[in-house]
Order: sequence, then C-alpha cells, then structure tokens
Amino acid sequence: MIEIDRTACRAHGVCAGLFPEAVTLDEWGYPIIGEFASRRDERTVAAACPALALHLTRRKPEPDRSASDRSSA
Amino acid sequence: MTPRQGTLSGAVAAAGLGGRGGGGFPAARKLDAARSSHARLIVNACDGEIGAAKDRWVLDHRTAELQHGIDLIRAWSGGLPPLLAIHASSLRAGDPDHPTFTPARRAALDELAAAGTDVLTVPDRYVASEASAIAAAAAGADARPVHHSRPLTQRRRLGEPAITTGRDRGRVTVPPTLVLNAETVWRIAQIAEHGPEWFRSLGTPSAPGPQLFSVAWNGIVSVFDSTAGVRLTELLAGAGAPVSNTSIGGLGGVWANPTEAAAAVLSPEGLARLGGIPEAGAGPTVRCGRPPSGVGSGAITVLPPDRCPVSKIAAWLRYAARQSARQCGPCMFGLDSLASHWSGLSTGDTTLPRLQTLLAEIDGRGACGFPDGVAAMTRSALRAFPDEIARHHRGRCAAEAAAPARAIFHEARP
Repeated sequence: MIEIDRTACRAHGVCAGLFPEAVTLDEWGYPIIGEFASRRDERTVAAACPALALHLTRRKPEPDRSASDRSSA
Repeated sequence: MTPRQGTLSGAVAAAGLGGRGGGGFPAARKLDAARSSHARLIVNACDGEIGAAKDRWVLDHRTAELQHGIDLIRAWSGGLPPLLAIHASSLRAGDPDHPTFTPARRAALDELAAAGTDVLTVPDRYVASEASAIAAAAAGADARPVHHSRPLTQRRRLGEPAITTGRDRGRVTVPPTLVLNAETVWRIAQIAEHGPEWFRSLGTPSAPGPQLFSVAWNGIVSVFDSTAGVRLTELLAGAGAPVSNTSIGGLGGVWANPTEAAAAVLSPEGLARLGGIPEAGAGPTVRCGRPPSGVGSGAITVLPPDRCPVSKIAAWLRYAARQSARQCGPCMFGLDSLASHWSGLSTGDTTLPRLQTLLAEIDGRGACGFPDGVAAMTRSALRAFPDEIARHHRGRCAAEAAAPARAIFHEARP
C-alpha cells in the first residue's frame, strides 16, 4: 500500500502523470490515490515523488488513522 | 494489549471513559500504549473549540484533582516530566475572547508547576491544540499537526521515535507522547478515587460517566457538570438561553434548528441524528457514518433567535479557513473554497451538488481531523437549515426578516 504524507505533498502531480490509472488529481492538483497494479509500481511512484510525500506501507492505512489523536482541538 | 484488572488502565477501561477533548477515543487504550512506550503526558487545557471553557474550569477549579490525575498517569507510564498545554491567550489579561487571566488561574498554574507540571504555551490558532500539533510543539517544532500513520503514543519499533516532522520544517523527532484533555485527566483521578462502578452509574451505556458542557450565550460561557444523555433544553435553561438555532461541538460539531434543539439529547446516538445526510458516491473520497463516539467537546453555542444561521455559518467557515495550518492542500484550498461556496449557495452562484463535491474532496484528506470536522459541520448545517438557505436564495432571510425593526443609524438632532 501507499501512504501519503499530506503535509509534505506539494501537488507536483508526478504520481498522476506516471500512473493515471491509479492516481487522479483533485481540483487543486492534490492526488487521490487508488489501487496500484503491483508493489513495483508503488515503489516507482514513491521514488518519483519530488516532495518525498509517498511512503510504502506493509498494511492498509487504517481509515481512522488519527482517531486516537483526534482529541481536543 | 488487554487492560489488566487492578491497574489504572484496567479501572479506566472498566469505567468506559472516552476522551473528553472531542474524539471520544477510549482513554484506557491510550494509557496502555503510553505505558509500553513510556510516553510523555501532555494535558490539553486549550479549549480550542468555539464556545468551549470547560478545560480552563478544570484547571482553575479542580487543580488538586487534576494534579492527582497527572501523578497517577505519570506513575503508570513513566516518561518525561508532564506538561500542561494552553493557548497563549489563556495567559493574557483582558483578552475579549477569553476569560481574564485571573488570580485563580495564576494560583492553579503555580500549584501545578510546584508539583512538576510546566506550561506549554501554544499559539491561538485552532489546530495548534490538535494532539499531534501539541506533541510537535513540545518537541521544539511549530505547533502544527504532523503526519503520523500510527498513534502518537506508539513507537514504530522499540527505541525509535514516534514521528519525524516534515522536511521543510527541519527534522524534529517527536517522542512518544500521550495527549489527554484536561477533563479526561480529572475523570481518571475520579475513577481512581470512586471506582468504575460509580462512573458507570452515570451517563449512558455508550457514553458513561459525568461530563462537562459549556454553553456560550449572550457573551457569557456557562460550564455544566452533567452527563451524556442530558437534554439540550436543560442546559439552555440553565444558561438562561432560548431554544434557538444551536451549534453542538463548534467547528467540529453539528447544528440543530429550534425544532431539533427542543428534542435534542446529548448522547452519541442523539448527536448522530443531527449529522449530515450521507450522500453515496458524491465525490472521489466518501467517508461517512463514522460510528458515534462520545458527545464531542461539549461546547455549545446558541444563536439569538434573530441571528441568521446561514450568515453565522458563513462567518464560521471563513474563520475555519483562516485557522488552517496551511500544510495540506485539500484543507488549505478546500476550506477557503468551502467558505465562498457556502455564501455562493445564498447568492445562487453555487449549486448544492457542487458544494457536496467540494465537501467530499475535503473530507479525510488532511493530516489531522480538522477539515473532516468542518466538512461534517457543514453537512449538518445543510440538513438543519434547508429552508433558510432557500430563502437566502430568494433574497429574503427568515430569521432577520422576523426580527423587530432595528434602526441602523442614529443621529443627534439639535
């Protein structure tokens, strides 16, 4: 799986350019990441990101990844 | 990890305490993770939510019990000396938006400092009091949320720091940190004192225990020590407020119109009914139906009956856009866009489907939960105020049209 560090992403769009079938861009140019065909593609896209915002993870990111830290704005 | 009986986390788990900062995450699970990583405790007393005042009440008026809770948690998890996080404005005298820096607050901070808990001042920005932003501030970085795929309380592997903050802010590693809301720490002390059975005897099965609520009305914030399951109307009566358009939970909460406010019950189930209408497939990322956990931050804001909710929400959305930490694109651009599209809904420059697409583009796409909360609040407002929005579209606002005539200009005549 690919995980995106949204604080690092600068909307270069390289990921969507390389893998249009897996990545689409929102109206501001930030990626919406879907499924990659292979682990190799994931490695390629992570290495290609100019902002180093894409990270390979072994597991699916939890949908409530920040729920435990959602306390207290 | 299963909480063991007879331990602090065992008692907190048996009590069913959910975090009182807004997320409602099980406190015992945080305590267990903090013990295995020797996480540093940071007590969050920021009251960052609009209309919130309860954390400062705990700080000022339950200081000894708060310190007792801090001691219990420190003994449980070890770690660096604890800190108390507050907004910079909570230390300033005479700030119009916050109660004055009273002698009681000074005394409370002195008492905590004497027991080894120092103050961590964070900027007044809304997201500066988000847990990962506080943990970053304690580590010497900007008080802005950091990306973390695992809980702040955990190490990746033994001996490794929890998080490294983003490149353009320099490499600062954030050690394992346990951020707990001030009320949560106070409740932990109460559970240790009175037992989980006492705690469970109050509140509702899904949100047990006593619970603080703040009600902001007419320039005054009243704090109530109540429980989940209380009727909104009881708190409104106690605060001397009318049953009117009401925000429950501020920027990260929900809206109720007067009919809903009259019937609203402040429980996870009651608040879930006031959420937005989940629209399937409205946009690229749809996350809805998050299971109800707790009753949020308990911060309630009542609008005067002649105050238009549509224009009030427009002001809140503009405020939200300014409060973004401006790190994640969908938050930085999305909230600005959301504020202008909300106003556009009234002028006819935007359609509802366009607004819903925008909400889906914002939802779940930040490093912290702030944009998700604002999106959920907006959806709830769309559900609560369809008539007001439609009347705005026709150029006539019901709330303000119904108000008695008010002079807008006075000039003294000789």
